[in-house]
Amino acid sequence: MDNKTDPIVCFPGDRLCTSNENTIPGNGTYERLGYIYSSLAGIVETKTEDKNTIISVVTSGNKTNLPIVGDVVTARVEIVNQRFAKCSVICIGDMLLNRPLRGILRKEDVRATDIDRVEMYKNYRPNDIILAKIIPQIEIHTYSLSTAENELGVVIASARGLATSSNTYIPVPMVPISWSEMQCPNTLVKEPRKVAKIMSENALAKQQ
Amino acid sequence: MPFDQKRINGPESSLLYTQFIDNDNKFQGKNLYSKGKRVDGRERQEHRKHAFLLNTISKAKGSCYIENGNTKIICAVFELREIPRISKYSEKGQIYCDFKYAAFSRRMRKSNDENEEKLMSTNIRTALESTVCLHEFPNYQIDLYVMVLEDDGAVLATAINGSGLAFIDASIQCYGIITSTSASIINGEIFIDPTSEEERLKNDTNKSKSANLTLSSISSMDQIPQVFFHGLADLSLIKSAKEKILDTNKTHVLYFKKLLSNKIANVRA
Repeated sequence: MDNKTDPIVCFPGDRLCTSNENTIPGNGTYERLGYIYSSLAGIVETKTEDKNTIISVVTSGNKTNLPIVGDVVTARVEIVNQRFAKCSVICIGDMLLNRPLRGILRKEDVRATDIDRVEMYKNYRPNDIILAKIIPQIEIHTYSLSTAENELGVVIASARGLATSSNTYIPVPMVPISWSEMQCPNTLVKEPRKVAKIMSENALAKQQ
Repeated sequence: MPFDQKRINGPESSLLYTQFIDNDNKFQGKNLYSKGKRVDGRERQEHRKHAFLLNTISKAKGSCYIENGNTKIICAVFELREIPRISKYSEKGQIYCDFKYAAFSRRMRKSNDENEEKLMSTNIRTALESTVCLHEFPNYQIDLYVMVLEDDGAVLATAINGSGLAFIDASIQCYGIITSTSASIINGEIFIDPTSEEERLKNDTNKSKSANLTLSSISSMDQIPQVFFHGLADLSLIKSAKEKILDTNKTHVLYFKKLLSNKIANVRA
């Protein structure tokens, strides 16, 4: 939009514009007494959708980001229990976090159907990387996760792999063979997981 | 005389010499002015030269090294942390401020002055709680560490300036740029941005009223989040000191913005 004109630099407390029904204060701004002010030191960006203009301020990196309900996050499973799986959230969307956050995936939120007969150990194992969605929090410092959709679930899981000479094992990524099983390419052992349906970026773009 | 084991003491009945000093021309034995200006050559209302550097601590999320005359302070802001030991959901975040004087920062090399450090950190926290958008991180707290490397007066004011800039460097949302200035009211006159010599003058005797006022303001919103006043002074003097400080704060915002714009320009390029 503003490619040809000089970028507008702004500081916290700078008044950006008046606020009416068509202007929406986006990230890095706040609305007060009929005006929209900036709350970050950076460059102003405007985006127009239909009749509405979203005004936001962009800084270079260093953003403090906390997930909100509905965000798709990437998490690593740490502990698996009969009732829940404790995870550590490492990315929000495609943005890597500086420090992992705590997440918990309860038995009832693993899938959408037949939730009484879910066995956690047959869906997730420790060290799996999963895609999950944030649902409303129940505990204070822990984000509640849900994988009750086809696109959510295990993305990367590792099998124990080949033994090396020094008595260690090199983990080998497993290949999904169905929506509920993954197989190690070397030993051909099948392990049960709730596999995520990853759509390629081209397919997603075509959908939109 | 207090008994000092490491030195040769005089007779027990001896008194401090300062009690006998004549108080006419000088204020408690110290020159307030020389040739109509302050001891360091400034006017009454003149602020010392000051400057700051952002992002001085690479491990911190945001940091600021600020110098005000000889006062040197470094402030660092770290990544969000869960508020420890809370049982209820808190809609607003918190700021945890840890203020320390370096052992070599003052005239008397003390390593610990806990009460004063606690007082300073409470003041800095009060100032910043109104500046930072706390509702953006409920249940989390931001750690702010402030260390004074050299104390030559106006420490609280400089620390608040530095902390505000450290938050902006850390890309944490703030309602505005907070600026702060100190003033000493001595002998019926207002001195803006006192050095530590001028600040200490008020501590000696109760004979004349003297006071110290530190005031922070968010100039873009015309709000005063923090005031620190210590001493005795006439109300009219306090009011005019407040006006002078608010004006000084406003001019400082422009100067801070100019230096901040360098930071944004560097990052873009």
